[in-house]
Order: sequence, then C-alpha cells, then structure tokens
Amino acid sequence: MTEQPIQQSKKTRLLMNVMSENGLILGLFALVSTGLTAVTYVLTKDKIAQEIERSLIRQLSELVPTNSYTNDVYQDCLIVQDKNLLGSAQEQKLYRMRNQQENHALMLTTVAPDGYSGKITLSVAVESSGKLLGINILSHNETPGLGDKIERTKSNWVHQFNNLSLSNTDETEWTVKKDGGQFDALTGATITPRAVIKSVFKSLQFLQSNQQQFFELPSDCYPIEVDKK
Amino acid sequence: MNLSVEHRTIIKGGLWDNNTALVQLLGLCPLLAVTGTLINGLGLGIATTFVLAGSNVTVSIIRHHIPKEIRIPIFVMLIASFVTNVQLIMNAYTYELYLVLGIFIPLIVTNCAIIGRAEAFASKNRILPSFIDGLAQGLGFTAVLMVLGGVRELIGQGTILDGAHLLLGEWAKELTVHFYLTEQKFLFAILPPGAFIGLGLLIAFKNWLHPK
Repeated sequence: MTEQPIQQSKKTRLLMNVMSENGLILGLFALVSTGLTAVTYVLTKDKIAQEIERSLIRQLSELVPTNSYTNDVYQDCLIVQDKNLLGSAQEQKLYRMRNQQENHALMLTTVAPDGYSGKITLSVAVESSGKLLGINILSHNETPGLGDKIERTKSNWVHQFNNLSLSNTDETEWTVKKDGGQFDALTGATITPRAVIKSVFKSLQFLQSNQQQFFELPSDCYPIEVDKK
Repeated sequence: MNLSVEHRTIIKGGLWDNNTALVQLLGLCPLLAVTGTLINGLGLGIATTFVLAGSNVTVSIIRHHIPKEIRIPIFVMLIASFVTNVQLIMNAYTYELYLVLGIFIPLIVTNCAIIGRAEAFASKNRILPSFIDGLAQGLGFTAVLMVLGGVRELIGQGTILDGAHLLLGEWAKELTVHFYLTEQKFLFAILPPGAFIGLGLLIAFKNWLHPK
C-alpha cells in the first residue's frame, strides 16, 4: 500500500521533466520565430512606408495633373482626424498642392465606414475653389461584378464626381437617384454608391470648414525620404 | 532528366495522384475564395508554392530536434512566421506584386495543406525530397487553382486572363481574351457557389479518369 504513492510521485516527476523540457523547446522556438519576424519587421518598416507613400502619390497623379503644382507633395501634408466627417477615428492624411505661392488643391484620404462589405477607403482631391478634381477608391471588399464598379479601372462611375462642389450642388443631391439625389447607382448595388457618395460629401464639408488653415498649417506628417526616379 | 524513382513518385504524387485540392481536399478555404479569375488563381498558386517549399525545407532541417508531442504547435509557429516574413519582404521589395498577391498571403495561413505536408512528409524525410515534395504539391495546387479560376472567369465574365498585367506587367494586357462581352456578369460562377460546384466537377472528372 505504501508503494503506490511512491510510484505515483516518480511518474509525476518524470512527467514534469518531460513537460518542462518540451515547454522549454516550445518557448525557444517561439522566441526564435517571433524574433525573426520582429527583425524582418524592423528591417522592412521604412521601406514599406515609402512604398505606400509612393503608390499614394502615383494615384494622386490620376486626379491632379503633376504639372499643375510645383511643390514637393511628399513633404507637404497634414495628419488630420475627424470621427464624424472622415468616417472613423483613424488618422488620415491631407496632401497639399501649390503652384508657386498659390494654393492649388488638397487631397484627403478618408473612410466610408458603411460599405456593403465593410470599410471602403478612398482619396478625394479638391481644388482650392472647392471644385472636386476626382476621387479614387484605395481599398474595398465590395461584391465583384456589382459593387466593385466604384473602381476607376472597372467603370466610369467615379467620373460623376468630377467638377462638383458644395456651391454648385444642394445637400439633397448628394445621394443616388433612387433616394432623390443626382448620382447614378450601380446595377445591383445601391449600398456601395450610397456609402461612397456620403463619404465624399462629408470630405468636402471637412475640407471647406478649415480650408485656409489646412493650407497654412506647417507640415506635420513625418516626411519620409523618397528617391524620385 | 535524371530523376530517381523516389523523386519521380513524389512529383507525380504532388501533381496528380495525391493532388492537394483534388485528392487530399486540403486548402479549400483559400481555393474557393480567390479563384474568380485565372490570374488570381495563378497568384495564390505562386505564393502557396513558395511557402510550401520553404516550410517543408525548414521542417525537414529541424525534424530531429522536435519532440513528437509538441511538433504541431512548432509547425504552426514556423509556418506562421515564415508566411509573415514572406509578406513583409514582398511588401517592401516587390510592392506592385504585393498589391496583387497581398490578399492571398494571409490566406495561405488558412491553408491546411502546408501543415499537412509538414506533418505527413517533411517531418519524416530528408531535405531534398521535402523540397521536391513542397514544390510538386504547390504546383499541383496551382494547376487546379488556374483551371478552376479559368473556367469560372470564362463562364462568369466571358474572358480569359483578365488582369494579367497586374501579375506580369503592362505587356500582358494584350493577353486578355474576350470571348463574349456582357454588361451583367454571370454572378453565380463568380461568387462562392460557382467555386463549390466547379471544384466538385473537377474532382468528379479526376475520379472518372482514374477510378479508385
């Protein structure tokens, strides 16, 4: 009767040994693989930020002709935030384009939070007169073949925004025709256009509210070294 | 080609006899999700093949140092960090490709074929066979992705190789073939039901060719 507890404790000790050894090995692997990922992250972080910036600027050239401004847009931007008008509490970027000393245009990144399949991110370019130069969809998860026609490459839908401004439209016009507005919807997708239109309208409101200030504030988005080839 | 019988069996297994998607029925989650077009299929295929070969080699290298009881969590960790590293590096150095393949890379983590090969093959075999196995399994998977993507694309939107320029560069715009033009796409083929039925037909076809 006295033997059993001893055997039991031996077994337990053996089990404990194996467990701690395995735990150690597992921990070691976790350390090495996380460490490797951390090193890669640090090494690629700046390069990734540069690439994102560069592609944003490339998209900007689709909205604002590069020869219409003279300043270095990469280095001339603001970090802005507005939970109501910009769709989320996320920080957004506002790029400023100037022709010599003259204020030419602003480009804002923003979020339409209520797409059919979640958030749609877009950029909105507006001339200093308040006139829309155009919008670009940056990312979305809308239904292929229906909602994805908001993409510039898939249909002309985004062109409807060109040249509109808060002064030449009425607030009630900023929705799809079905709701009494002036925008065409997409066949089979109404929620997607609604979300984008609303977001563009709010962006215009946001930009107009402080336009002077937006042009004058000192640039505060961390400038990144970009080699322009 | 001077391949040993062993290697030849591995290659044939990966491409056909033991095909990931058609026989093992692994990796269906990303497969069903992205095969809307042929090019999408090709993109996921390339990324998966790369990760499969890499993770197979890594697992094979360390196979003698892993206690049996904890091999699965170790494989999971290895694969996860491998995929994350590939994603970061692609994001930094091949940004254009990343924009296209970017969404597929996290999907690879959901591909149980990777851990399946690590467990079933790489943990028991030498480095070279493991590498060949990863490559063959990956290519077999890619082939199914491309066929399924191609068929769904053709039925759904009447084209083949749409969006080739995203993966291959501007010159590839010429490659797109329009069979018929539709304003309305045939959504049934493009959305997930088309993928399920298409895959079912492919599996049926294989079983008809080679009854078990």
